[in-house]
Amino acid sequence: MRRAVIEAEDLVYVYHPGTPFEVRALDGVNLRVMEGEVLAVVGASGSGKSTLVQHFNGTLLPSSGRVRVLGVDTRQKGAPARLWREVGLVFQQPEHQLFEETVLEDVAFGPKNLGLAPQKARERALWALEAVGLDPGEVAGLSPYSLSGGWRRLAAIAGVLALKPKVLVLDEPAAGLDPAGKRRIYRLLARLRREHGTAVVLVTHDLEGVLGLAGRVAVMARGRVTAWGEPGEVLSRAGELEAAGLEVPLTVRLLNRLVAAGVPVKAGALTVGEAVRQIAGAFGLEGGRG
Amino acid sequence: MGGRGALIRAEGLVYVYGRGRPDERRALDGVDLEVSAGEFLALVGPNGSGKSTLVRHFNALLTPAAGRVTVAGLDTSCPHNVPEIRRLVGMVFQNPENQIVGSLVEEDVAFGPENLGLMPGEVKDRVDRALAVTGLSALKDRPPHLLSGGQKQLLAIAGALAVRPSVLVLDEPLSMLDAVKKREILNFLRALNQEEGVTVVMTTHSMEEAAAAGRVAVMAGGRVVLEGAPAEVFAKEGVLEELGLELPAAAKIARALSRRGLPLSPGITGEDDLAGELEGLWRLWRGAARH
Repeated sequence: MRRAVIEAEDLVYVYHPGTPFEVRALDGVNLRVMEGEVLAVVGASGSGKSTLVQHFNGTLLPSSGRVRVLGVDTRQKGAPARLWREVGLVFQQPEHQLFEETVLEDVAFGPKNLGLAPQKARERALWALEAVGLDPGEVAGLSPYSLSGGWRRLAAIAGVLALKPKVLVLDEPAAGLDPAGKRRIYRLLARLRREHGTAVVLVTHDLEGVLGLAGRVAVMARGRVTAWGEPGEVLSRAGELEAAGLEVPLTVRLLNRLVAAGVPVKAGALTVGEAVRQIAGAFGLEGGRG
Repeated sequence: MGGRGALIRAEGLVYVYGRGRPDERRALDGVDLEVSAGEFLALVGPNGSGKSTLVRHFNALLTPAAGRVTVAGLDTSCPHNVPEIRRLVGMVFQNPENQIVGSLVEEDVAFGPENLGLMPGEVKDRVDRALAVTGLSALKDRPPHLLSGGQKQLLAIAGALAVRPSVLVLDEPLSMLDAVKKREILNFLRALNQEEGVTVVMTTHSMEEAAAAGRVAVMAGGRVVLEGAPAEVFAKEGVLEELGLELPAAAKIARALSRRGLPLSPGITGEDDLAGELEGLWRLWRGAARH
């Protein structure tokens, strides 16, 4: 049976408790991340997603409730230092955190900090660059600032990957990238899971982008998990998505409108291809469904 | 001035990063582009195509290595024009963290209008309106660092709006927002453009967002390679695909159905057009099937 690598139980987090700025960002979250899965956490701005994932490597500790990572309570003494190796956290726009002279030094920074010998750290860095799909021969000696936005993002992810974490947590990893850059990131995450069994937690607004990637989706609203399940199933639940402040995919909206107008299509198409097949079928065109 | 002439004009604009260094990069390679007073222009293109570099020339943050940029006739390369240019052109960047200066949301938005030397009452009006339209009124007494990423981006937009610029330039303003907020901001930008006559220039990777604009200019390799109304630009599917840009989902569905023989109009870019035409065709089709 699969183990849970991260478990949040009745997790509450309050920013600035006891001040006029007190905000209850998490209001009783229960969630499990299983070994080797890709879990997408979606929700509107301010729903608590980023606050939640900062609990996964001990950056934040619960106000009440409990978070266990690989079986260890994050409030246990000394836990945060260990978590830092086991849970790699890639923040929003991580390319702003590159600071070394060369891409290679930047990616090797984490492993060096883990206490690896310079040569070992370098090997790790080269491995991580290759793992994210950058050619070390081409980019290792360059200044991080001379890379394009998409490549800089990949280099920043390589910096976290070089720690060989058991769980990789990414906050909006594809935001701000062009469609080709987005696809590159999603392909990378799929490969990491497949080849290295890395559990991946993905915080995102891009519901449609993670359809083929995430095994499960958790929807957050107002500091709680309000819905979860397989992506296709969650995405077709228009009412719950709207209640969480998320947009229903265009294909779902369109087919719902056509159903209401009496066109015999099946509601709930999640991809453009499926929507086209449904509509073509209703109009008796070639390439429709039966 | 007045009239609908070119408000911003770039001619033969070249810009080079790290000039003279081994990793020198020619980010703009001869851009000719005009932004007319009162229009809503979307600049689209893949990462590294030069969009951000181009719009940084519009408020004289960068000045041309070769060629010329003018704003309301003022050359951006003349240092004494810069204060006037920055009053005319408000900028919002992708990363809001670097643009927040106040210790409370309200103070942050007030920073710009206060710097214009406006009366306190006028400052307050502008701040209240900017907070209301961006939906931040309830958060006005919060410190900005307690806002979420998306809320910070809204705050940056509110701060720029409070200055009431003639042109609002936004560099990837929506990339960190959820879909609902994206649409709200886009609707808001459209209303600002159409009802208040503010010229809007927005960069984006997303054709879906570009469809909201009146005109689209596509950049690649430091040049403008396509220009026109959204429907005209979307019709050049081959060029866009080569650049790795995706058509909006509604346009993709319309095209695929047209290819299968459904008589849809060629210029469909949005959901409402597509749903409307499909419903109309269904009524006709069903009527014909009855006879």
